[in-house]
Amino acid sequence: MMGLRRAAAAGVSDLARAARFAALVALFSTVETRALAQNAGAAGADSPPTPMAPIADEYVLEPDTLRVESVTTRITSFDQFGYGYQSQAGPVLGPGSERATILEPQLEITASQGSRLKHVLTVPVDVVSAASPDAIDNTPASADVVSSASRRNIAGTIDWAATYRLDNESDVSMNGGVHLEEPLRSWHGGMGTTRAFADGSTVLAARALEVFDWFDRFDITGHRHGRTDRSSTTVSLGLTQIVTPTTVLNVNYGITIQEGELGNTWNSVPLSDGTRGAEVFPGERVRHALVGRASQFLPWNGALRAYYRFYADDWGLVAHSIEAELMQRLSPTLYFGALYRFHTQTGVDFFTTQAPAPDALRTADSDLAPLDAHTVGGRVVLDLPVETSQLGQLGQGGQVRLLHFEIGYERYFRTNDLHMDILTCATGYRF
Amino acid sequence: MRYRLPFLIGLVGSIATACAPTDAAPVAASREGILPAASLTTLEGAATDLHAVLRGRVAVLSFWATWCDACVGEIAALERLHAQARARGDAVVVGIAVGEPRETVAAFAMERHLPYQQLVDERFQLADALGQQRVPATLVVDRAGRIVFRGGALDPASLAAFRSALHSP
Amino acid sequence: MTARCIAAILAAVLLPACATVPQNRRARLADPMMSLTGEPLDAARRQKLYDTREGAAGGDGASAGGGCGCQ
Repeated sequence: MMGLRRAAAAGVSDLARAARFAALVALFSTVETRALAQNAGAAGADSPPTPMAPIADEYVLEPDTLRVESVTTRITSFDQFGYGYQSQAGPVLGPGSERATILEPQLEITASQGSRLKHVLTVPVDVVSAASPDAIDNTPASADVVSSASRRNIAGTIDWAATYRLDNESDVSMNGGVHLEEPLRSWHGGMGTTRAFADGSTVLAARALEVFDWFDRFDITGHRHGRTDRSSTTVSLGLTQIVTPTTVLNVNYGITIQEGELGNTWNSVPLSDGTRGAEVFPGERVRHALVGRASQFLPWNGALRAYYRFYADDWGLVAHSIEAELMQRLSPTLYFGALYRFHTQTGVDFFTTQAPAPDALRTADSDLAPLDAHTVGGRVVLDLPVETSQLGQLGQGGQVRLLHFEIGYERYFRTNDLHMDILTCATGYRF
Repeated sequence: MRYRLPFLIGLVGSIATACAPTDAAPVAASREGILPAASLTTLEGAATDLHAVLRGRVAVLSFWATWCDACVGEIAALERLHAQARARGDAVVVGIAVGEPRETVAAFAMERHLPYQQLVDERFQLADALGQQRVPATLVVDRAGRIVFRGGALDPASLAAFRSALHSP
Repeated sequence: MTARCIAAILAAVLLPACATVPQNRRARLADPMMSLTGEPLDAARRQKLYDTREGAAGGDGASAGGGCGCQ
């Protein structure tokens, strides 16, 4: 009996041992199989590939969805000091204060939709505190210009422009938008087209734009008399020519026809009888402008940009404006520029600082006076490329690839007692 | 008065002849459809021949420049195409940067981690030999080194030509 | 007659430069410094400044007048 139990125990033990052995064999076999499979996979990279599915457009090419290409913000402050006869913020017959501070934030977003369509959305906002209109109020307590100059007016514009590329040589564009401010609403819409020749060395451009303003009619004492309107229709033609690999020229002619109430109705004019009266403008204005531009790359990694405009209208104003900006690149990412602009104008035929007759055309608006204006300024621009990971893995990208920074200062001053300090800075993101 | 007519004729003649389209660079003749031999530079600075790079594979050649926004815009698409070509093993995507120093192209490629091979044609030798005067430009080359497609940016037509070349013997 | 001769000579010398520049050779022209109008927001705010502080406007493709109460 003991022998049978020992034999049975030995047999059970043998079975267990055999089972353990089989389990180990199975385990090792599994490990070896996995190793063989991995080796086979590694060897597969060097072996002839298996046939792949056809390369599909939808996998490779960008889909025709809206893709933001850049976002740019800019903020500019204008600190204006000056005097003008149209302002009542001063002596009855003397020039009044044109003191104003303007803060102008701007936003621009560009986006592409497929390979042919591009959109640009622009939103500039003006935050204005001005002594001249704020001096006009029909409440007795507002005579103090200083205390009322802190009032602010906010104005904003939204403009959307779309450009559709018809083919490699031509495109069409449309734009439209609205401007809102306390006493005024404005709508604008335009269309344009460009046609390129000689592989894009020559580009012809034509554009038409209509602006319609609808605004409150305030008299010179600040009382509101319903609303009035004006329209401005502009047609322009331009030619851009690449002259050499480092020179490009542009000529542009524009004509604008304006009709309606063409003045700021609260502006006033000193009269010869010792009082003030309202401005009296013609009901129409035809304006011509011819502009020439040139950009020249300089051998020492700089550039010179030049601008000239000749202007004439049927109110008798003739003007010449000339501007030059010299830029110097300090590195692939950094450049600075220095700017000078000179403007001279004759003034409109009916400009006066003391109107002799009550019913004749008259304005004392300092902007329409004979004057010379100078602008001097400079700016620094930094374009920083951003190291990105493999864009392919991100599908449509979406990472910032370039950061743009700019800061600039300008001093604007006129010979008829107005000057302005302008500080501007911008930040941009390119995707 | 008597000089007015010759003056006007001279002026009009100058304008007509001067503003007529002319090629700024001579185009070397190449055998019809065959990819010409041209010495290009790798990003590391080594001279190489394009045929040696292609090694009998079907190829998409993308002529580009770092200053060209449209070229930079299609990099993502070329990277996706490169992934598919690499998986196949018998196709390749090659970027050919034209008109710029090697160092400029190398710095750009490093910033972007461009995965497909880049060659530099700094003096437009290959571009002029092929008559390619635009960037971006896309060429499809078959296994025999024949140019089977010429186009602008990468688009459905160039991909169709690429697929057709892959299916050809 | 002298002025006409000079004009004809200048035209004969300068206008031959009006040749097609291949698109792949326009690297310098692509530099942001070479933009004829500058950065769009900067150009817009400067154009508005001059349009509202001077009597002259236009020629830039934009409207010469209207659009806000600052005109």
